Amino acid sequence: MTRELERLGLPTVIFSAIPAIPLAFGAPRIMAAKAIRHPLGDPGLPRDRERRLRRAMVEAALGVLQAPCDRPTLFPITS
Amino acid sequence: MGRIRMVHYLNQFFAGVGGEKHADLPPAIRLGPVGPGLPLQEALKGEGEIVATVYCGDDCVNANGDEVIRAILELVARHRPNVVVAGPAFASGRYGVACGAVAQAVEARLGIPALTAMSPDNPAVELYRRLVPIIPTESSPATMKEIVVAMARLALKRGRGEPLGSPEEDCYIPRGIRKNVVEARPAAERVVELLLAKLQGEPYRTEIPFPQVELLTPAVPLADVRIATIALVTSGGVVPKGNPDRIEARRASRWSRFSIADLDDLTAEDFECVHGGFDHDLVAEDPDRALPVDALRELEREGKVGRLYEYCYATVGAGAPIDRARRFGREIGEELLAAGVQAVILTAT
Amino acid sequence: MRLELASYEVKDVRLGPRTALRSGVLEIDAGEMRALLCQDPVFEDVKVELARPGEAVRIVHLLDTVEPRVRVSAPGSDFPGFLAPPLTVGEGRTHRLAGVAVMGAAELPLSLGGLNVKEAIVDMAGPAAPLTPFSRTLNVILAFKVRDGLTYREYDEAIRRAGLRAAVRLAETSRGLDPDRVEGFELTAADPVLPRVAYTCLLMQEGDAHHMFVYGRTVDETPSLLHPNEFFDGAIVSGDHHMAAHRNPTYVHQNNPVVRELYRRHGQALAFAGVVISKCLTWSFFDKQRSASYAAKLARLLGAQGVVITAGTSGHGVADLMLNCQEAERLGLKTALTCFEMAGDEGAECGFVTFAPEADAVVSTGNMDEVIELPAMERVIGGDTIIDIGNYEGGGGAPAIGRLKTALHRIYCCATLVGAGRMTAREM
Repeated sequence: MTRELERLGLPTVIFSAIPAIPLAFGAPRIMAAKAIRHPLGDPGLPRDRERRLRRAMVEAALGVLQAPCDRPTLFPITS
Repeated sequence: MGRIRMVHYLNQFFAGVGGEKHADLPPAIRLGPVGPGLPLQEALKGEGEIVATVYCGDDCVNANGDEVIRAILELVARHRPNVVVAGPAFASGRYGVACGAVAQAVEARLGIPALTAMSPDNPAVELYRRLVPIIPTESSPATMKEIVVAMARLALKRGRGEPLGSPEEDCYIPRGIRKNVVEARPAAERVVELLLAKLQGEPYRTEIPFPQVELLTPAVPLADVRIATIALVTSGGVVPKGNPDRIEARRASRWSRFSIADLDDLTAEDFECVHGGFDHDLVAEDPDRALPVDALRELEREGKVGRLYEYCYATVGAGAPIDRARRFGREIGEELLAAGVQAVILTAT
Repeated sequence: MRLELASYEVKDVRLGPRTALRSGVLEIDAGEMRALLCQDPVFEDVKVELARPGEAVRIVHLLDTVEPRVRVSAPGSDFPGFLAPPLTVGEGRTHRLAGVAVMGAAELPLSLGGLNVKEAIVDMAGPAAPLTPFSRTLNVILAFKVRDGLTYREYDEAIRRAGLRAAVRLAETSRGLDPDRVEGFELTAADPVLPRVAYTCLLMQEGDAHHMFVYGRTVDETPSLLHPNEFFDGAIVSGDHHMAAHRNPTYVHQNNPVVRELYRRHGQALAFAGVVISKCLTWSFFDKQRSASYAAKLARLLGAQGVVITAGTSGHGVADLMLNCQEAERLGLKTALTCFEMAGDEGAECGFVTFAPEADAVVSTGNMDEVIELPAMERVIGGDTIIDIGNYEGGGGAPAIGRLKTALHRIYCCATLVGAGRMTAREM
């Protein structure tokens, strides 16, 4: 789906728990989700810390949407 | 069984009635073989005969579609053939499409086996190779003699009611279809054999060829995310409680669009997870873990992102065939573009 | 470490007054078996039913299948971790009843969200029969009726223990009899010029209905080594109740075909370096990478130049398979893999979840999406209605005895990932 969105001109960040898959299939902007069962979350953390983690991941994705990209890339989640 | 009865389909040029100017000729028929039908008849070596040749202008077929096809079928059916052969079309795109369409219609609507032949890079190949067997030819008509031999072989086989064999046996372009067969040896023996060949530097062939992924030019990045509208999409199966769009747990046939207009986050009361491919209780407990509405709302309020689009899109990624996923991406993308959305965050499980 | 496997060929199985093996015929005292297994209070009843090759019989709601085996040189050590302390097996003398399969069938009264127990069917005759190894075995089916009100885990554990106990009980009938064949399994020194080949067996673990056990524990995050003989002696037990087509039940690991084939060619075309077991279907990419790299390192420590890697399950288990392939190739080991396909009912869709450019030697266990039409049968064992779970292309909720159109997903072990089957898909 990601490639089709990109093809239409919509920069798209895909959060995947298995980045190897979108990398193999050629999605350009990839970020690692936390885990399959909780892509943007972590049940091991107390609620408010979990929300902060989610926010940090999404904020990083917003940064990636503005960054140059010319090939399938796994972008790190650095704040 | 007596001699196999064959009807041969040609275009106006190969039927010898005219060139480009006559491309709009309506369907017509002649008894016996015509033009390339003569070497084809010879290649049948008395086991079959071309009882009639149906021909039509390429433009006529391509422009008038079903009406002309029906007329052609009627002419074909008159001669009660055991098999129908179209072409060879070589590199000609319009002729290739006409041959593919006629062969496919003969199989589907008359229930008579049909085949055609054309160059492997003829645009009609992608359209028809899954529907009818296409024998590959060289681009130029100069190699007619070799091609008619392959065509005759397959035509006689199919005319006798024998099933289509593998692409290697019957010399046709692989249809890209996978069919189960029972092998002589179990997979365990075959995999050891395969590894040994690889280790000994001998030629080996994989049973599952993987595709070459074409390089895609990524979309232009956002100039300023603080004034952009972002949409959330997921293949993690998060949908409103009750799954109103009835998204299936596996091999989803559609996607769901739902409003998050006044919501600051997604709750377990109002949303659920229908994905059948993983243990989804943690996402069900807090759907923001798969669709981060809460995070985006917060960022929206702080002006760190322009706007969170009021609709979310969801489907289930488990067992999703690629062609279907592509279609979903296109359909959702077109809606998003029409609504002025500028970028997407997509979550997959 | 040397194992002597004595095979007793069983030609027929029947119910009778005494459980015994006589002239190749296995007689089973159903009452005695029932009493033995119903000692476990989880069961309200256990019916012993038989199905023979060629009979118009359909078996449904299948769970695990076990081959009757008993370790005669070390009594009380069978199925370590379950019936016996988790002590190393694979040495000594073990008897097996060749041609017999003990199958567990039950309809469990619980749903587990996204990971339900899936339907699993064996037809002893008809078009589906050639697709499963269990249409050619004499099947002793334990049809379990469980009491209401317990947890899934309690049912699962009880059924598993019962199947293993029944398998040992039946194998005991061979004591004191002369076997038809004895095979010796030992990793003898091989000509150093032969290529050394290791086998990496991916075993899956996910949730309660979907896991494999090694010496009584589910596989964990750090790959480890097994001696091939440990497979033959019940070190690996299956709790995989997910998609029927690609399950690797206990029986299939007791007879692991890759282990057998590598042993067969040991000293001739190759030197069997040993076995690595590694978990697949891990939820985090971190663990997937870690396991794949670790497993590749173990193969290299075994001195392997090539590795056969068998897939453990579908879904993102395929990503594990590909990562294992990549990590091994990165270390200079050549790889060959087994994998299934899901190419749609017409075979026209892209059939794989993911792939890696290094995976250039893959053997297919067939397209599980292909649809098959099963004829009506005369008798059904295990249940009355086909379980309706997810999108398996029709058939859900239908009477089990009648005609049935279903995707191959439901046909037990037709695409077994360790490669015991002969079904494959070809490009047409």
